[in-house]
Amino acid sequence: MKFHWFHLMPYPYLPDNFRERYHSVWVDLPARELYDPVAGHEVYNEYLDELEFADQLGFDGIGVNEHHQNGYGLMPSPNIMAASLARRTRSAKLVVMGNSVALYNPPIRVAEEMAMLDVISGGRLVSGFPVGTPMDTVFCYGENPATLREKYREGVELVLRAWKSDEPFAFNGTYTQLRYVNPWPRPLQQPHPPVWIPGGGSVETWDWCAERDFLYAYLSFFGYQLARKTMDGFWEAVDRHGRERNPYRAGFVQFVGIADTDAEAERLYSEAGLYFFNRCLHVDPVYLTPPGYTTVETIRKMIPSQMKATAQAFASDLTWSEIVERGYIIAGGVDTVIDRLSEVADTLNVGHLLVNLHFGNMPKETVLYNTQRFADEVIPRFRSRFADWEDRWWPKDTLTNPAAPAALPEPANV
Amino acid sequence: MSEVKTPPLEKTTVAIRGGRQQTVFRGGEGPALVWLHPANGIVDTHPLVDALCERFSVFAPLAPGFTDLAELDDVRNIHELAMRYDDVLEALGLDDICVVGHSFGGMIAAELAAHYPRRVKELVLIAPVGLWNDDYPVIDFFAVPVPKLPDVLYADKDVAARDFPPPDEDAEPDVEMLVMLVQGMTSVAKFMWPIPDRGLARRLDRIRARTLVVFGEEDALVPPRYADDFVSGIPAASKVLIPGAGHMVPVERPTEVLEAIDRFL
Repeated sequence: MKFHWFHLMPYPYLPDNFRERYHSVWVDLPARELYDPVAGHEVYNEYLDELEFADQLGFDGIGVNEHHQNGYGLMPSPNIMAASLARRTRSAKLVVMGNSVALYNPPIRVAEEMAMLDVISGGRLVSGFPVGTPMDTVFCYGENPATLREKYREGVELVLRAWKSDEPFAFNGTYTQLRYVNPWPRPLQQPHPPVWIPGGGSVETWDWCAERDFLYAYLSFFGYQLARKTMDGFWEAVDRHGRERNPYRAGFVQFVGIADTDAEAERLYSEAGLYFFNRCLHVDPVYLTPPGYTTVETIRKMIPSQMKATAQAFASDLTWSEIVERGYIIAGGVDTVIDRLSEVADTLNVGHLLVNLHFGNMPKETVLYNTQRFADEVIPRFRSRFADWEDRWWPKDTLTNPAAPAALPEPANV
Repeated sequence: MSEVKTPPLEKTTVAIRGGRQQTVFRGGEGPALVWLHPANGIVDTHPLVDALCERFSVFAPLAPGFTDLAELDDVRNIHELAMRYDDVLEALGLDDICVVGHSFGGMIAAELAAHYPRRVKELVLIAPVGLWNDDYPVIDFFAVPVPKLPDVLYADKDVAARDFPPPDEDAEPDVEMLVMLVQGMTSVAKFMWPIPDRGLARRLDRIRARTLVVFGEEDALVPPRYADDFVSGIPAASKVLIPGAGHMVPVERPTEVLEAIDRFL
């Protein structure tokens, strides 16, 4: 089993009365009023330090993602974050859970930037292609919800073809027309970096991933209990396409807070957890359900109880005990964490766990403590799990002796 | 408002080019008139449409996508949408016709008349979308929470209360109803997202039809000032503003709208 240290990079200074004062953390949250770029300078640098620390401790991957116009996650460009990480990290793979391909014009920009990341990092890139949330895609970037998914699929296929093609080609698509497709550089990993598709539970994504042999990463923040039905749906799609239930073709996100005792966990992590669920997820529901974003097939298959639970989770002011009982955050002593994560691995059959050891407004020293204990006491217990399966969704051409940032000569000696 | 015994509009299908089938609702007798519906589609009873059926032979094509989103695959943009309506009217043998459209249907009516000026003889645009001015923007219809829809769509609270009865919290969600609603709204979004301006202002002067623009004086969705923009852009146009009505003026004040249409025709 593999563990990836995943950062959402929230803005940690949303005011205490945030829910009452602002209708949504996303789309039209006033930047001039709430975002302080000088504080933001410290925030970005701390967040990058935390990811780099995870690399030092031997996490398999470090993860970043893409969101726009919000206080929930400060990475409109995941590639800029991954580029910042590429030089100071040595072994962790760069799990880039952007790029929302439909937002890039032309989409070969994605092929170019991801190839740059793969080459700079010595073949450490995992290329994630999410559709993107409705807030990011149709509200912030003005994409048409009626055509978003078709445009996205066409873009992903163009990127993959650009990476694989032996020679320049013309592309006459519905959404992109290019006379000469011939991106430089090409990726170091051949034929291309592994493709991960982060999903929010759309049924057509399951079949697409199973058919194309892409990894499916279910990004729910509402715990493994609710995720069960979604992951069962994915595994059924895998069966339908005659493929093996290899746990490494699936990923899942889980928030974790480790302490000596459950009471200590509450002391250390409750403020940060409440900040995440009650401020960072305070999204106006109108931005979650634009017409056409959720397909008719998904609406027909969605389980009413699941719809209701998700809507409630977004809408209500949660308490710490609700967050922990429902498994949104696994918090407690090491044994508790190991038991619950075993349950996640078993019930969802996921080989790739994206763990959020930072969430909300957690202070850096708590983040480092949580990270250190997870690396020392949890990861070793899961190393042999799923060992019989081959992970075909992981970088395999990574350079064993990559270039390191060189010591710079004194200016006078140049 | 008329007493209607049976739904005046009957669902039919018409073969158009390429072997496609187009849904067209028909009803009434008299000279032909085309009704282009707004985002809520063709409804069982509609005070204005029902009244029009008493003196016209009404043809009401259902916009592509409303019953099957796959229909939108070959209607990629506003020009292909106008072409689709031209195909439908061609199949129905309707030349030199009177077209009445409300809201999204008003936008289509104006686009049809601008793309195919010889097809449309008279044009009635009721609270049409299609134009944009930064000083008085059209509200983001797609970001209006459902509980606030009545306030945005209606000025007449009584009519709003009739059309939007309070939801039954205990009822199981009607999935097929939701699917119908989503298909309609997705189809509308294809031509209105994120801003309902596909360049109509640059083509309004192609319209040859004698045109009447009708707005509710208290339209909170499309500011009534757009009436003047339509009137100044279309060579032969006039406007009527109806007091006490909002964006749903044809259902809020059907008698007044009908009178305005009668005077105009």
